[in-house]
Amino acid sequence: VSPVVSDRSDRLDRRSRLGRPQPAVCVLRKHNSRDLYTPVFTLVLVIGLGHWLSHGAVSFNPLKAAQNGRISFQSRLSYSGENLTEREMSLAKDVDESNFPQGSTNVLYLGDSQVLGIFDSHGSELTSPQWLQVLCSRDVQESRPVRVRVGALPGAGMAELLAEASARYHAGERIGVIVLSLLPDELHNIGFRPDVVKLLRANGNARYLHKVVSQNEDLRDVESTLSPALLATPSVPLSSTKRWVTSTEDKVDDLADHWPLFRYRDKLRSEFSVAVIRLRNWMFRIERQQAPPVPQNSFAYSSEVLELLIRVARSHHTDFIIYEGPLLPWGMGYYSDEDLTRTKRVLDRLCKQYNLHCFDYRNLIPLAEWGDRLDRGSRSDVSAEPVDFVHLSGEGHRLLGQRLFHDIRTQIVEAEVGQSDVAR
Amino acid sequence: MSLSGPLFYIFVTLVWLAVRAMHGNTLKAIGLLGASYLFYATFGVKSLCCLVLCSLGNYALGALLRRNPSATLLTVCAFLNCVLLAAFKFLPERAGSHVGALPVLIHPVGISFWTFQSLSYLFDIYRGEELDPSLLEFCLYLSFWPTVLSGPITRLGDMLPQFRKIPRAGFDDLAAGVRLVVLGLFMKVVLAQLMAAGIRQGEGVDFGFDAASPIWGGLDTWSLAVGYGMQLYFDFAGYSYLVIGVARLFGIKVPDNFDRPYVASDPSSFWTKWHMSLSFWIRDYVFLNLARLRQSTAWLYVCLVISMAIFGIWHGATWNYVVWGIYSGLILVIHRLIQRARRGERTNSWYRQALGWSTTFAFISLGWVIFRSHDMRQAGRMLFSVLSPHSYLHLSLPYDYYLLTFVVTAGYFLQAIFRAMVSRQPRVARLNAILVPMYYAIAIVSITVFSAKQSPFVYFRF
Repeated sequence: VSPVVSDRSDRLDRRSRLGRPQPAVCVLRKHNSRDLYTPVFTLVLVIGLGHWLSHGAVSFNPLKAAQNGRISFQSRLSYSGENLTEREMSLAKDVDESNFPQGSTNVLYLGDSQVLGIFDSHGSELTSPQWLQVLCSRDVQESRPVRVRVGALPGAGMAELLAEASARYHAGERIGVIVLSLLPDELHNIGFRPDVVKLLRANGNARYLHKVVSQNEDLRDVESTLSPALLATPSVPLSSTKRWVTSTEDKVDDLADHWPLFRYRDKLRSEFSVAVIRLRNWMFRIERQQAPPVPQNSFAYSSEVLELLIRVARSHHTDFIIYEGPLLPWGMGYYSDEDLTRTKRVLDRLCKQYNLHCFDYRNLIPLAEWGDRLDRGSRSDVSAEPVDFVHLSGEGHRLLGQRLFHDIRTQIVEAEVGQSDVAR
Repeated sequence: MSLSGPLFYIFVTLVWLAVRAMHGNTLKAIGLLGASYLFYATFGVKSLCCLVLCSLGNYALGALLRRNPSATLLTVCAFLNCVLLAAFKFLPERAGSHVGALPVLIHPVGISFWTFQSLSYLFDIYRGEELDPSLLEFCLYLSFWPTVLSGPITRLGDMLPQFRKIPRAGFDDLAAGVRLVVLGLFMKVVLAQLMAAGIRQGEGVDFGFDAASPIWGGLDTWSLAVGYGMQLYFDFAGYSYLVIGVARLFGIKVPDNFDRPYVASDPSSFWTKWHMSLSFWIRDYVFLNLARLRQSTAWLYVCLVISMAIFGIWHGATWNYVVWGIYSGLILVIHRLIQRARRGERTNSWYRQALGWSTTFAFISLGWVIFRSHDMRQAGRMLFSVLSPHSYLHLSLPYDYYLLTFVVTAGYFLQAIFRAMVSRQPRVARLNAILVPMYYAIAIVSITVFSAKQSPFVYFRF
């Protein structure tokens, strides 16, 4: 009768027998040993497969999975050039420290792996933030101590950089200057990695950032995309029941960690992503010689996050400095012209609108200071094409650090001395 | 308590062992009720209080209705349940960001499901069906822990005979239960999550819809519509298989909720395969009652639209759900009109079937855009892009998203075809001795890997 579900129309008729005592549907058949074949064989396969996968995952490094292995993300502190003093070495080392000391002019250096990674490091180079710290300490140190801290992350997205900066403001740190290295990549990547989620969860940072977002309702992409992500981050105190359940779940998870497959599931998941992307590259013959275009939605969202970051910095009287990161001067270029043009357009607008100090370092680093040498380790058949499109050599970092210091020295000198709000 | 975490399965095992050790049906029912309340309490003790009070209240109303089956009393019973649903489900939703102003409001998990179960009980009593549950049986019916969170919406008539003689689960029950749990987890934890988050974190359906940028090309909208349809199916059908499987471990059979909906070749058939427990509820207690009021074809169509609008509102108090319900109702009406126009035509050629399938799939998918959008403005913008030929020229989403949607959708249909072929090929079926354990092993390993709380960051520039 029903036009909605004609072939199930007998169901209503069946209702007439509802409630009548019915015999229980329970056919107990005696199982034989054949029945155990599938569960036992499955179990053996799960154990074998799990062992094999987790064994491989131990040495898997998601940061280096897609790179050529010639990039070093660690600061090298045995630099012997330019006669760095012990103190300068010590200050250079401190750029990776988390907090600013009190009573100094604080410079937060944001960016992606270009800021952190050194191509073909020989173990005796400094990164550009370290150079900035050393040069500041030589020049303006005596009158006003300057401390540089790195808030950069490999493959950083703009929202992650916003999270990093806002967590510092929320902790009461006074930042005199923010230096942002901008490449189209920062406008491409949009997710939060677990470390940043952890940062947001801590100390009510997510709630603080959510408040900041809700005060900037005109940035609609931020409001619609970032707000749900922040609200999903539990920063509201849990009820005692839920706290108990969560802690019990964590304890059970810790127990389950004894099974290697469970312990390395994070790494295995990233291995899966890398494998899928590699398969895709192989299938569609995608060569790593040009970055994929930044999707329009990602670009629009990230541009608004950048604007929010500038507003947050402004509201804390922080001088905001943006430089367009160096580009590899080779062939057709790594980033598409369209991405570079619209990044430039957004940057020009923001610099004008907020009266920022903006610098163009696109052509600053000569070809020789990029990864343009043969990658003999992994690709012996490659010609003399670049093997790395983003990361600078140690000398490249030195050039960048020097130029940056030259350009922003005045802002650093004029920036107010930081004093922890918490301490005060 | 997360249904995909190890704690849940420890809980299942302990309850299973405890119930198995119990003798006597009443004791087993008490054991299951205790486990149900304990499980539900993990989502909040206040929510549990609400569930218990609702159970007691509806049991009392049922007893009254049995003694005095009047339409007035039924109306009062239905009204009270609707008020309960509105107060605890819709008010907190409407309060939205003003929750601080309404601190006493809680949102008991699964209230839409167990309120509808209560209503079906009351309607069935009014209809004169022989339902005479004890208080224990009724409380167990409403709070039965595998189904209390998100259905399927069961009927007392299906569950009562099983609660009256709780079977001792046999080997077949265990095997079927584990099979369903693995399938459900694979769909929910692996496939749904992959569609929602994308291969790289933040490049899935969620970002596609949540980015409020006014840029959606026609192809973006289509791929988001199909992608979200797949995500919703894997998530909800996976959940349903999971809970049906858990119930089966205890020897209790819960009705199916999904039956390969996307292979349906017409909208009516789709709604017999999608969220079956709700669509049958709406049919039995809303549509048929409305349809009996007047004998005219036009009224029948109005009833269809009203029923589907209620179907939509059940999901939440937003205009999107109302419009989605009306849209789904109108599609059913159009299908009925086409059926009437073709009455007498006997041919059912393959191309007609293919046309029916593709049209159904397209219109159902477009409906998901209304369902998932934040507001009608967004839905309107996205749907408008489908009609705008020049918008197809630009793509706004990450390329990997299109690829993922294509692969997952193609995979869904290919496995449907493969299943149909295998069932006809006894030779292929012989390979099951190898294929089945391999399938389960890969599924279990994938579930474990994807049970990570969050996809780790992958530094990959492509």
